Amino acid sequence: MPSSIYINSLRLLVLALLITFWELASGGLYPGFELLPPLIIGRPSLIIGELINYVTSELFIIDLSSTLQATAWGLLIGMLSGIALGVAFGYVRFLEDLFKPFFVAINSLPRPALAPILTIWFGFGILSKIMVAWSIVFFIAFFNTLQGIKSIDPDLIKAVRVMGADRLGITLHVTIPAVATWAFAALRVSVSFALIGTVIGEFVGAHSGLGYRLLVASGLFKTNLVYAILIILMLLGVMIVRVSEYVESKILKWRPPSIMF
Amino acid sequence: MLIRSNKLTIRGMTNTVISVRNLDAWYITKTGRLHVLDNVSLEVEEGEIVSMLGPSGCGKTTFLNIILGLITDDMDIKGEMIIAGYNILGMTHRDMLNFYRKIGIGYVSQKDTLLPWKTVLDNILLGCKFRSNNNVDHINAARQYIKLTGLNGFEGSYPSQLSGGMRQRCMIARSLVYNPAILVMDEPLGALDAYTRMVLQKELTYIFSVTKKTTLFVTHDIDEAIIVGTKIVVMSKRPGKIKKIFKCDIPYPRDPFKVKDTDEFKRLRDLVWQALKTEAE
Repeated sequence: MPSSIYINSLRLLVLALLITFWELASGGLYPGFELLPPLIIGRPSLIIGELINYVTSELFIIDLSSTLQATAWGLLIGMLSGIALGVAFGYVRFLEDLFKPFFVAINSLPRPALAPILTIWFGFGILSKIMVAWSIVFFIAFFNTLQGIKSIDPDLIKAVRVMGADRLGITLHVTIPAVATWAFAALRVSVSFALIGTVIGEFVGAHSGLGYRLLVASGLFKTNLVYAILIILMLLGVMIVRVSEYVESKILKWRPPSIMF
Repeated sequence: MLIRSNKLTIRGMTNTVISVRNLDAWYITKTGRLHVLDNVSLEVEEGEIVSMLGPSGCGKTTFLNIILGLITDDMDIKGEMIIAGYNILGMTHRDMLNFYRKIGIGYVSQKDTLLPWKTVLDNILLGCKFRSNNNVDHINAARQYIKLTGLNGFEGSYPSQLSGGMRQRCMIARSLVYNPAILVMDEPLGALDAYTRMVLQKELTYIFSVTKKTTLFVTHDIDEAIIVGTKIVVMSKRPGKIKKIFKCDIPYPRDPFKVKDTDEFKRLRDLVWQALKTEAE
């Protein structure tokens, strides 16, 4: 295992080389030398300019808060409804027998395909973005919770019952922690998908949001702005995944590190 | 060390804690009825440690499940299971839960059934939580048993951070902390390596000599059955019958290593093996 300073400086070097080559190829280093026009592939120095321009504009605050709000609501509503229905299906076998094929069928539908109809139903405002995010997060939380309830070890329940636990005691000390484990294990994936769902929703029909701005910029052939927004989305994605990883590790601190994949 | 002893108020004059009379049990399956226990009768006095030996599938676990009150719908049971003077087979589910909560029954299995999301201390405290709300008493009791089982310093650890032997100690402490009238152990050391097993055998005999619990101890190991038990029950293959009962008079506290050198141990091991041999084949 190479030392972290060594590998990090190597990574920086690779990145610097890539960016330099990109700048060179797009004609930014030697006037007259250009492999591809910057209109198509962008140019790093111009992207940085666009990035600063956009981030310091009022538009950015509007777009960012719109995207973040839709992501957060989609995540929250998706997790809560998914866990609630997962628990209900876990307890009532009949519900699962009856509805599971429908859930599997809807879940196998590519969710971007749902976005247009959701926009027709819920309009161009934030609601349709929340619903697209919800439509992905819900199923992740639902299937994880259902799996969590089913995978509770009967011997654990037996041991706790012998100690004198009634149904409430078993629910409190065994079922809820087991479900919480699975639900929080799904959090990291859900957060990413909530953002994906929101951006898809913004592509299909919106007035604001990072996805909407991206679409507009690409339509106007503002290639450098497109790259700038991609960078923002990337940073945003990394940040929210990191936060959810932190939350997960705090809440599931009893888990051995080997399971933390 | 301060270990509470609980004298049971028992109906009748004897100090019999468990009295099994003509117990028959069947499992009802799709293909028919499976006879698992055949006319089992057994008396267990207060403070006795009963080792149970028998071939796999002879109904030991079913027998323990009935004592633990874990009776499922697919079981058909005849006869009497009298615990502390009450026949539990006549009780409703609710009554049984209340009865067991009152007298307390400790259970240690071979499998690790510690709650992985609770620390050692919280796992041990769990049984107390279902009984009263006096946290100070609970913590004091937990501390005693943590000390008795040698878990000092691990109170804040999670089960995943403990070795197999440590987890088993934690399960033993957890089963004793609410001062149960009966302790049921289903191959408690079965999953441990030979060395840890020897160490824990020694500690178990020490724990038994301190707590003086009425204990049912299922094992596959003849030596272990004699080292631990004051009475050794040999069961036949399915449907399980009680084939022979031996008394083991080696006085407590016992040291497993010294016990193995005694003539009584060697004599008993021969007798138990003679009884078990025909069933194991």
